[in-house]
Amino acid sequence: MDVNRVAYWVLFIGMILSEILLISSLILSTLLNLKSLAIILAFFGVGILIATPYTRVLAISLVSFMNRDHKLLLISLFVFVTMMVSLISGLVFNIVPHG
Amino acid sequence: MDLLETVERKKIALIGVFALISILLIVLFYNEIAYLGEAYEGKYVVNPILNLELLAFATFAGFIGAIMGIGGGVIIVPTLSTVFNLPIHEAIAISIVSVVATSISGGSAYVDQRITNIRLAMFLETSTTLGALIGALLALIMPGKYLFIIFSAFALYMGFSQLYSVKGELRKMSAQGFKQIEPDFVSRQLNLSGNYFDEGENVNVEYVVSGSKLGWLASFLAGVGSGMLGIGGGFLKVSAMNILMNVPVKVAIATSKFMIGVTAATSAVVYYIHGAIRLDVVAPIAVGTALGATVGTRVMNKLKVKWLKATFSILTFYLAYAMLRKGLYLIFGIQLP
Repeated sequence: MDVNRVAYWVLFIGMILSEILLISSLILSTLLNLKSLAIILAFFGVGILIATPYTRVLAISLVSFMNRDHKLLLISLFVFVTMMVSLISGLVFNIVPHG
Repeated sequence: MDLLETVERKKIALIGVFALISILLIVLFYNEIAYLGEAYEGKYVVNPILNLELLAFATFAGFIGAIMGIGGGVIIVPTLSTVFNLPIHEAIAISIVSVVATSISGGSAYVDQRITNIRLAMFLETSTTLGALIGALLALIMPGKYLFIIFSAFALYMGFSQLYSVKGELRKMSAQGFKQIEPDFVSRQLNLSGNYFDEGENVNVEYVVSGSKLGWLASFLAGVGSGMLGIGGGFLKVSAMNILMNVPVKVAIATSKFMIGVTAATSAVVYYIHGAIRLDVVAPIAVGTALGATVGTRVMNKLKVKWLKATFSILTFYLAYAMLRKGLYLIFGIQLP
């Protein structure tokens, strides 16, 4: 399985899903004045957007495993674990922007 | 040609299916969504005119970010806080989401164009994510203000190096010089070398990656800067790959674009869970940067390498100045123009 194609489709699907929701949100708030619906769509759109890089790293790990590409599997798993540790430490230590 | 048409048809079909599913879900769960939205509405104010202004600005930022391989936070944060009068912490949170958006749209386009080196990206992501984690934890126990001066010096060095290496890069491209060196141990083991077709110079460029340890270290520093100071570090990654690792500048830009989403997503998800992202402003910014990045990726490979490197140098000099200004202000209280 071509790791380039898998990475591409994961990013592409993530982009399309999130953009559909965000564009709908933008149209609803700008043209139709449906503010509450617009905000909730933005909430889901941002959620999918942020989840996409995690999914991309995980997908590369999976493809590397299927291709028996152990070196790429090792580095992609390292990246995923570091991302998860960063996420957990961010939540534990409440690291939010303060300027 | 048939294959390309088939892929394009598949993409259009996929977009259609997702759009239909989205509409269906909205119709099915309209009452629940509207109820949740009403709870949010008191918290946020939606302004249609502001939305359009933000969309136009974000499209420009996304375009610049795509052709330079950076996230664009350096453009977005100051503009949101000074022109659109958003508090700086809200501007940073929105900027982080926009970096994810531009990385996904720009990154996918460059992967599709076969310019991105995914193996190199994954190798450097090990150090940049680790650096970001350490930087974020360090920020809890020590101030990072002196780092602004250090990163400013780095940016200045990288800017001059980019200018200095313009002729050398063109020479290497025309004489296939990017493949005339020996790969180092890491590059050989991980099979990091690659090739791409440069539309601006009309030549197929093969390259051999070397200097992996230095590149890994530079990427680690970019991660520390991201975690500690909130700077994206895209300029450091592009320069590290191009100057230290024998990677052509367009591959460096595409690979950096692919990488930056990972560190940004890690910060973004924390802000998202804490409710620090302004949902009334984020949609036009995320849509605009993704749109600008999509256009930028169609342009970048057509540009001449010398113009690309010169523009990148100017941007890096600006970054050096911006970081020096912030560092001097935080350390000595000196306010530069």
